[in-house]
Amino acid sequence: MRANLVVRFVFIVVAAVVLIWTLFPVYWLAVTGVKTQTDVLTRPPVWLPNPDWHFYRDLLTAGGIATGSGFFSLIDSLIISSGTTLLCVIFGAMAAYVLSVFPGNVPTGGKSMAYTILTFRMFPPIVPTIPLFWLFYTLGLLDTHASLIIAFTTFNLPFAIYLMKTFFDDIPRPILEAALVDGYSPFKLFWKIALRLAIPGLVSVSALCFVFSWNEFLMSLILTATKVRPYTVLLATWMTSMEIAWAHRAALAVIGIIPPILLVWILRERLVRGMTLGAVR
Amino acid sequence: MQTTKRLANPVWLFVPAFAIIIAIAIVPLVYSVYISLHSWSIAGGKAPEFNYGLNYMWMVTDSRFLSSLERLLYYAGVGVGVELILGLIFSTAIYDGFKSPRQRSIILTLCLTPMLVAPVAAGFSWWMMDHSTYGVINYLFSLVGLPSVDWLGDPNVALSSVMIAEIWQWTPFITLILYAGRLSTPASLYEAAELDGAGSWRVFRRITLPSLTKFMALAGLLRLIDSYKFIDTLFIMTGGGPGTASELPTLYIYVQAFEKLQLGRAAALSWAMTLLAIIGGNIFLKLQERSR
Amino acid sequence: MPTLSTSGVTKQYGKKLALENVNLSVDAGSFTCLLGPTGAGKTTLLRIIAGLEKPDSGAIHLGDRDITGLPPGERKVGMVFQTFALYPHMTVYQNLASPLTNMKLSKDEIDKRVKETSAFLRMDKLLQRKPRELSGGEQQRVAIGRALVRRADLCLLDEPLTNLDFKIRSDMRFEFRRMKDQLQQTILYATPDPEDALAMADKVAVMNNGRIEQYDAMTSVYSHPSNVFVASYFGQPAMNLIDCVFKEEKDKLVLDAQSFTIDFTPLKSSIPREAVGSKLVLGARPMHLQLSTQKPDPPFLNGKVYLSEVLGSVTVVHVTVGDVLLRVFVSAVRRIPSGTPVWLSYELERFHLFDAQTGKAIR
Repeated sequence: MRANLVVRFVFIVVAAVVLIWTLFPVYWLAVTGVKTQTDVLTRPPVWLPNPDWHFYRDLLTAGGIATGSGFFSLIDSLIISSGTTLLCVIFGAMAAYVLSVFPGNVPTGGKSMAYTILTFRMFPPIVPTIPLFWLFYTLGLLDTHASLIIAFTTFNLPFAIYLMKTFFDDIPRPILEAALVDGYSPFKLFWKIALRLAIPGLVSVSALCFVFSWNEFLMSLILTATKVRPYTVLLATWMTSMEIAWAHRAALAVIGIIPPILLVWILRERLVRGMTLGAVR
Repeated sequence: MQTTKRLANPVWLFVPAFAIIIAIAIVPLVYSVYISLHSWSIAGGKAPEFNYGLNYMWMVTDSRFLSSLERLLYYAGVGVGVELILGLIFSTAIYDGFKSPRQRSIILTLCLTPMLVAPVAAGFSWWMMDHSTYGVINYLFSLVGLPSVDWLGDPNVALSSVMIAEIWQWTPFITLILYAGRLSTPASLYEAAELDGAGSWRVFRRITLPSLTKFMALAGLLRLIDSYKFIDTLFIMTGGGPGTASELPTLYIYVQAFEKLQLGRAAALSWAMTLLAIIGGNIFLKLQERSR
Repeated sequence: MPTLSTSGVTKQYGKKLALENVNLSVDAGSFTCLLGPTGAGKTTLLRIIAGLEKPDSGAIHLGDRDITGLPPGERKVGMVFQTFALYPHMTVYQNLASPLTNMKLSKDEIDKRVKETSAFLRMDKLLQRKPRELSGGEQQRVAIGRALVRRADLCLLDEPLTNLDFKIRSDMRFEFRRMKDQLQQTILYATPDPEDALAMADKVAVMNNGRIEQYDAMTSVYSHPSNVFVASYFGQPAMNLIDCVFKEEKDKLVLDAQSFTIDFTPLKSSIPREAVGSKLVLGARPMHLQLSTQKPDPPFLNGKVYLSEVLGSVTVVHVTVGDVLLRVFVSAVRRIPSGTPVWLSYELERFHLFDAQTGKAIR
């Protein structure tokens, strides 16, 4: 379909429009983050302001503003996301390995287990969060990093396992058989061979786990109060506070965008499988 | 592969993940079924009372819930439909408009940005743009002579404004799937068409479209399932308002649980929505099986 | 060193009976070939011996050890896979060392054995490379090395030459022979290619449809095939097979193939009584028929040339004798025009006779 030059031109124009549509809201956030309040609340809108960086500085230093330091929020998010990713990858890889390589050993049979796990993923986050709220309340775990890490890990695990299983499935079976003949125990096989060969997959899954946790809002809102506050919750809180300048909120939003964008940019080729939820390999 | 009994059973590798899921997910879920069969208001500090499924009967007759379902139909149906069309256009434009794979890869990655933005951040950006006085959209409207719209304050428009933000955020998902679908379509189909001298539109209709149908179905289904799961954007942009004009079922669950403190009813609502999810999920899996 | 024996091994996959009551006994230090077409059950048998599959019934013994229930790692068997199955993330050295690391050997011992094996296979220079940097033949040698380094009681090879370029194959056959001779390694080699067996094997088990048709020394299988299948499996070009019947005319025993007759009286005593009168198949290998363009001394058959096929430095001449087309092997280049009358001399002892119904050999 490379033939028609006119059509290609049209497509390029369309692609340009798409890019503008796609990137404008992000650009708008970035730009708002450096506007003074007067610049923000003007009409016609200011497209390229003289940058006022003090909001960014505020958020990136521990001093912060009194009404909920953005800096500590970002740290909270970092702790939670990293913890979740770590647990997801470790437990998920182990489980995915067993499902892929030794499905016969799993009680309900590898295939139906994967099936169940995926169905599980279809729940709206609010559904399990309510009983979880109650569970953590009774355990005294509300408003801690641990509660969110546990909750996120639990809800990421099925998807992580499913995805990682596809990466383990990609390992040619003869290599694993050769390892068995060579005398590797199933655990050694996992540690020395299967895991090493599935590392690109693990990296992709970690990135997706991290992004999910980093951007999560509702569960974070419900399971935290004042001591732990991921940046997404902070942003939502600021929405209802008249005192917080738009620029401040925008700056927080922009800083929040950076880690996922970095991760995805670096790993872009590898993430197709994960981002399409396994629909495309 | 089979293992004979003498080998250390690898199942124990599977157990931690399994245990976590059971303990933190299954158990609370089962508990929530239990709650759904009780009247339980945390406010009064009273203990839950078994109410023989009264919650479910209430749910089916609750007008607020039913209106939210109606809105969901509109929101998910129109939203995903638009996403599919746009995704098709975008993926075709990127794939067929640019020759070099490197160019395409860069543009595609840029197009994926909305998916990476936290929904609350996206919601905030659109909130700003939708602002009736200082928002960019109304300003652009004024430039071409269109009247200002109170995007988030007008009950007739509020839900659609949120829907537009969602479309912005999730169209890239469809774009990505369809783009990958294009990649996996054999080039020989297109080469044969070129030899036959077919025009671009015909190629699109006869080759591109049919080969992408199964991907569109898959992507569409995934998006449908996701569209009622996430209420982050809704929460930030309108909070369900004005009034309940933009309230969706999942948000209503939140309202019942944390504003009205009616855990029993919230649980019942949860399970209704969950049933929808399970049905949807099964359809997805069957589709995926068949496409292999 | 112990022998391998399988007794009554049966394996079924759904509707397909892959192996049926297979009894095989492999001598220590021998090179045994499992020969047969795709689907015969060779790979299945090999995998069961290795422990990668469980037989539905039957037992496997290695020496006096019953290894039927053991996992692959504990069987002390080495295996070379058809696709090589090297560990991509490890160097050649690590690939070779890998079975040894599971055997509780000292680092020095491991190093020594790896170096010995790589020297034997002339891979010393490749030790630090990764599999993707190697050619097909080199990867093959690493796979072999990995099996050899264990000094196992048995070395299994699953169609190792199938994935290699044609030209490398004869080199590799030499290598395999060397493995057996110099290392006294017991080898069980599965292949569909009769050339492999002819070149390397001490004993051959010809398999078809999950059963062993004949198991004997290579020379015996070639010169005394037990049935038509085995007979026609060897030989390029394939053996000539002609339908015929024995007829007794007074004191003479004559083999009637309609297009021609052959006087079998000299060998009358070696033909069982029941064979006379029943339908038979005569087997004549192309190289056992001598072609001449002038009438020779009897016994002979005569016919006309149909086609002369020159293959390099030899010729296969297709000759019509009556209604039958026979292939004759001439070890020279001879282009004989079609239609030329020719005479085919033969020796009675060289003929094979098979029962038309069962395929079994009569002599």
